[in-house]
Amino acid sequence: MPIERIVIVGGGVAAWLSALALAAKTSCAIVLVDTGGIDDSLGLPVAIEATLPSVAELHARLDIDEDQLAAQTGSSYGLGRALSNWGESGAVAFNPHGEVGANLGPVAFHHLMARVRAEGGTVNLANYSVAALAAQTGRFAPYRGDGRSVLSTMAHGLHLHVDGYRDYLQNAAMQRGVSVIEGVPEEVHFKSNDRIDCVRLSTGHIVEGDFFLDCSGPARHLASKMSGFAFEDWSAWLPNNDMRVSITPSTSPPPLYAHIEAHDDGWQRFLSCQDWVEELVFSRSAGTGAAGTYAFTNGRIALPWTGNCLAIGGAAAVLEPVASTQLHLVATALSRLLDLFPHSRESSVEATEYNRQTVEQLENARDYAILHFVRTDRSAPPLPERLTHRLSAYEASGRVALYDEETFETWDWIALFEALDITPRRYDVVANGIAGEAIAAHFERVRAVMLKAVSSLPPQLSYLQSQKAVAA
Amino acid sequence: MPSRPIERIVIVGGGTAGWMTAAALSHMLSGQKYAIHLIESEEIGTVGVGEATVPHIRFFNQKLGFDEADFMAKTKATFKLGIEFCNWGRSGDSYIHPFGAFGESIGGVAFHQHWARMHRSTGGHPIEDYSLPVMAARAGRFSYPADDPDSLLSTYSYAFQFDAGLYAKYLRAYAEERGVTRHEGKIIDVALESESGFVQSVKMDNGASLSADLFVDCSGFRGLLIEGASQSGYENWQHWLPCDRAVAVPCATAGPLTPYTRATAQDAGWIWRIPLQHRVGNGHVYCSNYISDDAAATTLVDQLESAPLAKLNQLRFVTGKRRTQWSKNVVAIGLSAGFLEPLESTSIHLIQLAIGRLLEFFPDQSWDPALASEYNRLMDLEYERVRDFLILHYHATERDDTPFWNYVRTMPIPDSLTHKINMFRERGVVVNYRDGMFLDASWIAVYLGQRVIPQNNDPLGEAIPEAELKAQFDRLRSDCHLAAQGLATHADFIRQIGAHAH
Repeated sequence: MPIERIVIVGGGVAAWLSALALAAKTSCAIVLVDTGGIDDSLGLPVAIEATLPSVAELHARLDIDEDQLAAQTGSSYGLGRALSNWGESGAVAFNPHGEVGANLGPVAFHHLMARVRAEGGTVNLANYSVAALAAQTGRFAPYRGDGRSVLSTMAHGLHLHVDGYRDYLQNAAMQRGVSVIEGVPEEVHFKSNDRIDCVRLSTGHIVEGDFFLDCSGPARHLASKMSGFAFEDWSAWLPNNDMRVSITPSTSPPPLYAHIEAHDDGWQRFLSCQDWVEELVFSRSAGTGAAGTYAFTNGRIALPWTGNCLAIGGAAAVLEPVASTQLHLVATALSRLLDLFPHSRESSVEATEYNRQTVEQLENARDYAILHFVRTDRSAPPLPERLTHRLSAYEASGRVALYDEETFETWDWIALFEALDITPRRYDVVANGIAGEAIAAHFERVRAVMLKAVSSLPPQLSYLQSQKAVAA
Repeated sequence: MPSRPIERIVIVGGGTAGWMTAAALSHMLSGQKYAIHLIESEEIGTVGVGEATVPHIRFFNQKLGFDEADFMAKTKATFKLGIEFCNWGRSGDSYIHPFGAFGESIGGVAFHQHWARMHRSTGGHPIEDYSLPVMAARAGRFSYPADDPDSLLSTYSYAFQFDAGLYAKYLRAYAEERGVTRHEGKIIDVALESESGFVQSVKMDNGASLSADLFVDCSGFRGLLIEGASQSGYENWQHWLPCDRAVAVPCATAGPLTPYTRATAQDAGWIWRIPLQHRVGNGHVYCSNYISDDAAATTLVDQLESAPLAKLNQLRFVTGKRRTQWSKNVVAIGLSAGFLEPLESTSIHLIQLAIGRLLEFFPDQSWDPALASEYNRLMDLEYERVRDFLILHYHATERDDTPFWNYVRTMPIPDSLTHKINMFRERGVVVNYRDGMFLDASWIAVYLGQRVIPQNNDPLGEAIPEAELKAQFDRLRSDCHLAAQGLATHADFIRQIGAHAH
């Protein structure tokens, strides 16, 4: 029997994005159980969500025009992150989206950087990244050319105004026939082991389905009822457990980057969208549940998909947004679900593969988050084995060890290593065959080409205005 | 920043691995103060079974600056569009694993998923009808792929079949021109540093000794340094890949020049057929538990398309992989690193990959263990994933006509492979990964070619009406057929580009 009825539990962004994706790509009837309350469906309830460029892939698959989305939801664009105080030097570093520099012959740019430094030179990678240069000058328009311009090395995400985004998704999903019912699951009834039959809500309603998505965030209304449910706590490596949010109207143009600053006891993020600035403070000190704070625990559930119940977003894993991973993890989970949509109600092979990929992805993303704190948090326990290997391989060779199901690619890792003042002891031996002057000339050329390209971009606000005009 | 660089490199063994390493190092490290030496003995034959390649070899040749037509003429090379597998899924079956994908995804759902749906509902045509390189191979035709990504003519890649002995010679000339010193001789002794266990020097039968900082072991199966001196250990994979011997012999080409390699399954192994410009290379890979050497040789000779041109060459091997391919100051490249039978022409690719990785993790005098650790992790993954792909060829069979096939059909296989096969059989999903040379299209070719057909539809694909699919399929099939007929014959094309041996 094919799956015909899907029940989604949770009323937040994760739930509505799931509803839209499944409504657009399957022929199933979809019921969304809106559980109300704050939207912690992604894990942590933020007002502005910084997305990674990869989220665009799911948006494209669902025919969402990101420019229209930004214009209509009060969102803006993101080109990376400014990091202060994360390394020993205390300097500010920029982690851009997209590529940095350009190879010279067979030698990768980061090896050229290391060679320049070995000879006493200084290099700041942000000077050789289109995204970083554009972010500094406040200029932006998405690149849609054929890949021949240096602008194609720039990638961008969004600073999503979460309320606006949720409304947008809800609208689109309802237009595609998703129905909503309000209430909180009180009882979960099983047909057989790990096969949910129906959910009884606080309102007395009974909602039946063939397949259930738990998008209820850390409440895990369904996932926590599955057999073998276990929560793997990451607090030993990621001890923050308290988030304070304040949001204020903004009067200046939104910066094209998030600013994250390390503290002795946690960290802080400033992020803007069209009309708002949000300040988040993460710490491990309070956890008192005081007003204006949100208590959380970093970690994941052992198996996101059990039987006919799949946990997505904060229900599957909570990872503080130091690396802006929240929406990425939901978007890739949904792409994966679409690729592995069960061919029948009884099938289980899809869950096996889904869990394999997801766990791998979550652990890699977790390790990237943990890496942020290796310089500031000295009381931390030994790092996960894989992260230790990544660190030692990078320090020894200047090469980034990558695994299956990565969220972050070579330049993301290198830029973070740089922000932490972690530099390799050696570089590509082939770089020694290139004359120092040739490298210097290459660096100048790359920077000149990039500056010229960036100066051709409009100020971000002009671009947003033009898109609003299109939308209107 | 960097600690003292290494200065001397000794490559132990010539052959394809040794000379590819020497040529690449001499080119990539040119202008730097490295002394590169290579020791080989004319008395020790090279194995030279890896005469068929995969498309990656072109990047190696390009990097070194080879002119393709010149290289082809000097190595008597032919073009290769894929491998034909005969009698694997069932006796009488034939499929081609091409260098190119089958069709394109439709409505966000992979082509093979639609194909499987049509196959279940109406039968339809074999998947190879939707592959231009397969159609071209079957027609004996070849031309370079087009640059325009929108053109059907851009949907394939190509590799070569060449005389590995001539390729080694070609590389030797190149390497010697760039300062590599060749020493003729056999190694009779290896001196280790007592404390560290690092190889200090090797002694040759003429009495001379060569010391070095880095030793590259290209000595073939024996693993003179990696095993003999460093005792790295060997992971035996014979329970999954039981073939352990081969017998090889060339013959003259009968019939038109084919742009593909052929692997024909036998009662206890398989026979390769590799067409070169001047001859055909043939060999029978077999399992000595199930067939005698004499019977294996007879099987080979009986199937030759013309009289043998040389004496039969007997080989023995143990499938598996060295436990650590880089141990202390010894890096094993080629058959010394591991042996995977040449069923998917992986030998030369694995050499090329190892050379690239050695350059990426090139050591200095600090001998940071993190370098070898990451190198070994990456190479292990590569070997294991090739291994799984090879096991699939044996295991995914319906053949029950000989004890050999009964064994491989029913043997326990690695869990990772069981999962992959289940995912494809039940749902048409190809389990993929970051490192590993065989991509989705290769797995699909072998699965479908060996009758592992998805049993269930991709539910997302059902949104497209069958009639619409059929129209698209018919168009693609006719386009592939027409495009293949429009290409030059293989022999003509080689002549046209001036790549024929003089």
